[in-house]
Amino acid sequence: MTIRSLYMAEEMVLEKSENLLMSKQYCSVEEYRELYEEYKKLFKQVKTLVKIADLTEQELKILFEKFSEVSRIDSLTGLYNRRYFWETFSKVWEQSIEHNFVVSLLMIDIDYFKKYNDAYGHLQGDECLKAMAVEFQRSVRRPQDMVVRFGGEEFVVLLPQSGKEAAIHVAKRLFRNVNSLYSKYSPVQLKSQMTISVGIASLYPQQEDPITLLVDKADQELYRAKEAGRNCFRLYERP
Amino acid sequence: MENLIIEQTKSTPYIFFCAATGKLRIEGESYPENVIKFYTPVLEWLHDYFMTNVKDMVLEFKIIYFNSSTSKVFLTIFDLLEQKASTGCNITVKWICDKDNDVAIECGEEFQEEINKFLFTVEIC
Repeated sequence: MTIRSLYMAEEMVLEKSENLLMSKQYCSVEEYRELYEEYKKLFKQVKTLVKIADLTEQELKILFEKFSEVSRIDSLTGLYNRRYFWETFSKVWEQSIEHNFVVSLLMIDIDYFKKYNDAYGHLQGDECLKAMAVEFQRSVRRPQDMVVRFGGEEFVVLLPQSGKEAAIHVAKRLFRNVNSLYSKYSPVQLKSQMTISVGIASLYPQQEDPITLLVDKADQELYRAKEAGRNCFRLYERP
Repeated sequence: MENLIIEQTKSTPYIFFCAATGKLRIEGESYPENVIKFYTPVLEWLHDYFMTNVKDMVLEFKIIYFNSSTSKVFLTIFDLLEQKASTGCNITVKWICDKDNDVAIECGEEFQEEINKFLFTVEIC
């Protein structure tokens, strides 16, 4: 038995049909019926093959979506992750340059988080991060605003097409929400009142600016906020 | 007649066909780069096996994932089995799948609808 291709049965039907067409004499009804039955069987198989292909393609689509989500989201907090931040930020940056939009970024650090972890353990530290993440997410209202877990206890809020006033407004909301945390959560979830320090940067990106400029400036302001005693924000604005 | 044994790889299944007992097994994942090249020995073995005096045969599929070309080969195998079953051979195909593998279960049910000349069961474990 020589197997030349996957479609030997189909090729045989074609060959027989061609021979019948080329034949100068009419063949018997049985020969036509045999060919018809063979074709019918193969057609039924095609329908099965298509259904099976649909099933596997559907599964692949679901897996692709799950994978896309996993590659974008920080599993502990449910916020976007750093990788996805940079992917999105590069587009926001380019659009801001092209259309002369202002863009603002808040760099948030949880004060004395290491001490909290040391005092209450890493599992409690995780609960604290989760509670904080919820409050950070609540502090933004627009769909284009992005809240990201940037590092261990570092978070970023990206505000496209937003200037200094909007950034300060969001920062104040952040502080209000964080301050109300301790009374909202049970002692099981949060062991002590937490505070944050925030560095804000706001500018109109220019072609010659490095893409890391906004993050670097916000980071510098965060450092200034820490130096100023924490639980506050500092702002950089380049009009 | 010699048994057919093909070891499993990342993209091809484990194949064990025992001529003496009539127990045949295809297990694993099937998405070979060249489907014809991989399954030709399988189809040729089956063709030769059916030339012998086979009375009873059980073919178990325990396939986690298979591509479209493989599904065409499986249908070709089922065609061969149907031809043999028409001569009076007692053939059973067991399509075995994990309870969490919905796609494999549904594919098994699609194949089951194709078959009417031998017993094709879908077993969920």
